[in-house]
Amino acid sequence: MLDLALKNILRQKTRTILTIIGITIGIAAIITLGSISEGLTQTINSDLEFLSGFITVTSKDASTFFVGYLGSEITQDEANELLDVSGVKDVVPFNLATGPIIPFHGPEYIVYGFDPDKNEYFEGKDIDLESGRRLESSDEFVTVIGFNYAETRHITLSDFIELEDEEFEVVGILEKTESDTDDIIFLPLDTMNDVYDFDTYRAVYVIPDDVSKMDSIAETINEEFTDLSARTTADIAKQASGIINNVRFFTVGIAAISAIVGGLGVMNTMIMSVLERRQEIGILKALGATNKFVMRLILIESSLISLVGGIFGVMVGFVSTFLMKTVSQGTAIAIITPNLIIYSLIFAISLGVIGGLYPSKKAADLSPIEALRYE
Amino acid sequence: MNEVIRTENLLKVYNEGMSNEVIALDRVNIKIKKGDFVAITGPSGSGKSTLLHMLGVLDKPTSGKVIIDDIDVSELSDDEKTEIRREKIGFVFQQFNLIPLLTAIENVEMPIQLSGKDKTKSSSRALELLKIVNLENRRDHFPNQLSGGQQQRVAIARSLANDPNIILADEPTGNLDSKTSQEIVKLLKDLNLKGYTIVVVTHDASIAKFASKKVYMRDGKVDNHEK
Repeated sequence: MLDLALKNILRQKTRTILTIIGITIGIAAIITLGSISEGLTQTINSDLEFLSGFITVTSKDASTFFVGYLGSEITQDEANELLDVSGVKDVVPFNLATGPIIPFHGPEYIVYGFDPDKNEYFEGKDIDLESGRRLESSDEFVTVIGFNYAETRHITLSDFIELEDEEFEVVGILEKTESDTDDIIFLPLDTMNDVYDFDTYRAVYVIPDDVSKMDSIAETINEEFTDLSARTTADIAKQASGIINNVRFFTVGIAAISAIVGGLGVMNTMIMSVLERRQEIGILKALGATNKFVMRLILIESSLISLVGGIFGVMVGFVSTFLMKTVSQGTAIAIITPNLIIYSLIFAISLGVIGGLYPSKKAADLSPIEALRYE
Repeated sequence: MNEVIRTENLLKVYNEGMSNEVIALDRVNIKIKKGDFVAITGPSGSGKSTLLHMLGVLDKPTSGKVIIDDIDVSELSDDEKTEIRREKIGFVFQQFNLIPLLTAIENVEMPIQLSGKDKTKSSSRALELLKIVNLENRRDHFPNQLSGGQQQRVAIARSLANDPNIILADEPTGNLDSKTSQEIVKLLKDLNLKGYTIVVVTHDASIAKFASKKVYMRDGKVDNHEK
């Protein structure tokens, strides 16, 4: 039967190829957009991990964590007062600045200033060094940079990079992480504030004596400091999962629509094919093919078309993800997981089966005598 | 008991109750015995083909019965009717009706595979049948690479695939020239001599001449029923 199904779909090659292309485009879209949303998810999750155990304090109306608390300003006085809140072990300020924005990706690089003495609280602490060393207490005009930032600009140790008309010597390069840390520039906080002329911090991490008291400390800060907003990791995680779900829903939704259009193409092709083959189906039934046999034959044909389309779609998805990474010089984060591939193929086959159901029922219901008369 | 098929008061009405009502079969009673060679003749529109379709369980009567091997087929489900067609009946059509995508041998194998036999069994059986119709050297030709007469011989081989109780042929020589027709008639006659029961709807006097039983139809009725 598989043999007959294959011969049938190869009979109208152009039509079959066009139908396969329809499915290919849909599945390629799912793979590409799905890989972007997967990349985003993993980046956010890795960002969340390092935040565990602190309370993040920003000014009241600042934007979220994911756009770098844009607009938030914390003064040194506020930082000192936070240190006096009961149960607070330490207050760790930092500053952020961003490079030019690349469409669909975000900033070209992020400048991140922190106190080298408090290295343990910062992003990058768990990332091994590709070469060089980390920032140290006495450092001034030196920097540790992310893997991509170095690689795309051919920067090696002891080279100088220029920021705000000042030169910084590269003393360390981080390993590749496939997250936004790959495009980071770490500076000593005091030097950064001088160079950028900052007199406030973007935000501070409040470190509790006891992690179990995190929620109550955050609550106290929110009550006592009316201008500030304290968020725990749990709050941020909740915010993150909301964003992730929206992004997923939107990207995969758009892709699914195009795949469903491909599925309608399969249905159309199979309806045409059944109409053209009325007589043959009549002969098969006269010879003793059951309704089930006819139905299965048509379903196998439509599933074969959509499976081939699905496999091509996955291949095109790989290529387009690769191109996207190349064009963006490795800054675009797109990850194709095995699950994404498996679900896409299952989706493709289901489109074929669903698209083939109606035509196969139509074919099975043909009366042999009617079909034989049709010439 | 060597009766193969009989009909009881077989009635077929098209467009029943409407102004263009046609009575295609008007209470037809016939009996076909094992080894018969029956020729159904009559003018166009007399109901010959309709009767053949009824005997072949391809069409449903308005009323009356078709009894094959003591089974009243009008009582059966679609799938059971399909099984009767597959196991007990072989069809030969005027248009040959081979499946164009399949080679000669694959066409002959089709009904055997439909009955669930495995590939090696079905291909050795199909080759045997192609030998009977003298076409084993054309086994891998597609229908469009065969002449009309050769296609009809493949179709006859196919009709024998599941060793049916009866072969039903609808104008088997209708699309063939007279010389080729003679070959087909001879082939049918030989099969009859080997014991196959054959019912042929035909205008062809040479077939009717061979027949052991002639059924003449007019206006949906059997006019005379010899022997």
